[in-house]
Amino acid sequence: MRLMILLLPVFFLQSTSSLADTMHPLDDSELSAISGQQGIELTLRLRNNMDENNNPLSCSGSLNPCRMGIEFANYQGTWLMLKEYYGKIEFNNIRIESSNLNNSNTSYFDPERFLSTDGTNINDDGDCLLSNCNPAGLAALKLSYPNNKENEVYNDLNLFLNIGRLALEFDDGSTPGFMRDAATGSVLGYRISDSSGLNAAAQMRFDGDAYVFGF
Amino acid sequence: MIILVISCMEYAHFLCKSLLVLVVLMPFSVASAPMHPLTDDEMAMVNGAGISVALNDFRFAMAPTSYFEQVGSTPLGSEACTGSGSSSSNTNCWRRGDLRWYGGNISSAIDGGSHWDGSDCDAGSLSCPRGGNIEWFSPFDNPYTMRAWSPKGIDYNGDPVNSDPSNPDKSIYEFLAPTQQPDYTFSFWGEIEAGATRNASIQALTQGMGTSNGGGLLKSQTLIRGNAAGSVFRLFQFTEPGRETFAMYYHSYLQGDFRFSVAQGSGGGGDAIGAPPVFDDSEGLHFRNVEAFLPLGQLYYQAFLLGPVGDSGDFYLELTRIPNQPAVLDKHYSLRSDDVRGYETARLALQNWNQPCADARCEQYRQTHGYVRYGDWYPASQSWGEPAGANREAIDSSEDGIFFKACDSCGIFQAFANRPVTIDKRGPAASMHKTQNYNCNGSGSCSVSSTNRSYGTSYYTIPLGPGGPVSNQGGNNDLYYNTRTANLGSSRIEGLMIQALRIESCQPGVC
Repeated sequence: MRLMILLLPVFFLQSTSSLADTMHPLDDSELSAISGQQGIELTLRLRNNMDENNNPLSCSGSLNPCRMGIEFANYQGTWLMLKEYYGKIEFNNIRIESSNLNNSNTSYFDPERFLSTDGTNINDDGDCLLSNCNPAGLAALKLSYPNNKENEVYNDLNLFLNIGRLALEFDDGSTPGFMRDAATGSVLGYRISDSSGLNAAAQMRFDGDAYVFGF
Repeated sequence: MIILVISCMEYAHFLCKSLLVLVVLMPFSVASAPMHPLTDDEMAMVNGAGISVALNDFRFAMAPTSYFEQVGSTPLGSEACTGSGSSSSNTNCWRRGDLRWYGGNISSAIDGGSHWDGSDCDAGSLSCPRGGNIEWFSPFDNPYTMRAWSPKGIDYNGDPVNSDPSNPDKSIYEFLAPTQQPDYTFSFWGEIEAGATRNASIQALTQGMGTSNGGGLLKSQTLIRGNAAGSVFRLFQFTEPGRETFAMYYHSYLQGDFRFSVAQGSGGGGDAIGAPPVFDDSEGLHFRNVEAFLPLGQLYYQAFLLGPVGDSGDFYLELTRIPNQPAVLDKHYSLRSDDVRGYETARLALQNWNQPCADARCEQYRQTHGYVRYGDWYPASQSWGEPAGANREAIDSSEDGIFFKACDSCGIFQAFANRPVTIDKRGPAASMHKTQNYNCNGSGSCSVSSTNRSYGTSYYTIPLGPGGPVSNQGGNNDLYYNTRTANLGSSRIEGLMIQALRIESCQPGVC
């Protein structure tokens, strides 16, 4: 079974001088100033089975709809069920830019890390995934969280998760295991939260820059 | 127009009542390098073999009040404790246990530094739980890497896998840590709560507390200064006939210093639930100069698997047993050509623990046999000596090995110093059967010879000088040592191999 979730984005194009509370059409000069070549910032907020006030939506009682099942190969009909499953996640102001890796190597450089799967010779480009088995100067995608960097501020990634019960469920005739709640007990419950209040999201920060590159 | 598509994993089923997504894409004007198209040469270098993430000046920090929580289950009727204190209703019974891990932190072991309440401390010491940014946490030329490929190996029956690289049988997905990276601080503080009655989904932490119900709350701190360079996590399909399911393996390398403590200092939230405390600077159980390699699984014949236990909802996590197949056993045990029982292979592996391998058999042996080394001292024996520069720890050393340390404002405690210095079980004579004690007289004086142990030609110990062992009797609890630090010395486990491991879940009242 395969499920695709399409996240429909909403774009707010914003001038550098003001923050608009309502959407408005861009004029030609504003549009022409936007090329996207200088990078983007992205904020993503996702709620699953929760309302905007952090309250779960009908996630109590037997066979409530807040659940996720995972079925592994060769164990068809056996579902690892996450019950009373709800939460939210927020990525705040991820900045994405193009960049290049350093031109000079660090003291941790290990060319063998960039050998191809059957490669043995770091001096033979045929054995390397990258020229000279060295990524120095390579083009990369640079990600960072440039905002919220005051001392003791944690607002780059906020995450709340509730798994009330964890147990296996089994297919029963035509009823798939993920539509059953025969195991009323729980192996364990799991939560990611903050002690500031009920269902408050855990707050995290990332300092520094991430460079993502492939080979 | 950009459409973000999240493809859920195969065999996953969601029932989501609501979904709200807000994506803001905002061009900004202070960027450094404009985006540009890749050249043909740059494109030609990318073949999809993997992806790497370099992290410069990196730090990850959760708010000290944010936590991961494992919520316990209430014991059933007759199993549950109903009283408190030293009463029959509080013995041989169970209470619900909740575990919370707060303030997960990966930061510099050199620069900056703060306690859980934000007050300053020196990140360069084991007194300080949080540091500043790590310059090369994931160096760009030795980064964390994810890749898919088809390495050679053998299956559960001992048959080769992927022997033809151009026509592979199986692919794996792997996550690789850098092979070298700087030491960093990994830390968190935690709560163990016994006897809570709250419904965690609808009640805050301050409701239904264990301390209000005959239980208790213990706060602790875990602090590691080191790194996990060389660790590998792999996902693949298991190969046992009839059990070809999702499989995982983890080869864990850890090196550094470890401290677990519970005593609090001044400041912070004290024992209030959910409030970050400030821990004492040095109290606790310490492990210094640790090196550990745990090979948990092997391609493609040993792996971690998940599966059902009975039909009541429980499950197991199993590291499967090494299959009883000659080809697998030959590879896994990697005996020397002149060895059939394994003793000589193990002895020479131990002797040459810090020497590079001379052949592929040795390399293979080191992939299947792990070690845990606490402290940098290592006993001399026939044909090899102690490591250069490593010394036996003093009985109250805080620099190396395993030790317990009292809090800064605490007085002395009495350590029972009846640890054996030398046990020689090989000799037939009584003089070789000694279990010997430090000479501690209970008045606070305890001298220990720093003379290294040495071995004569007949392999029994040469007696130590004054201050060393003074009797050949069993441990004597009247001989103790008044101290604020009790060092247990170095410890080494070599040739570590897990044949099988199985963990089963258990719901209350089911098993």
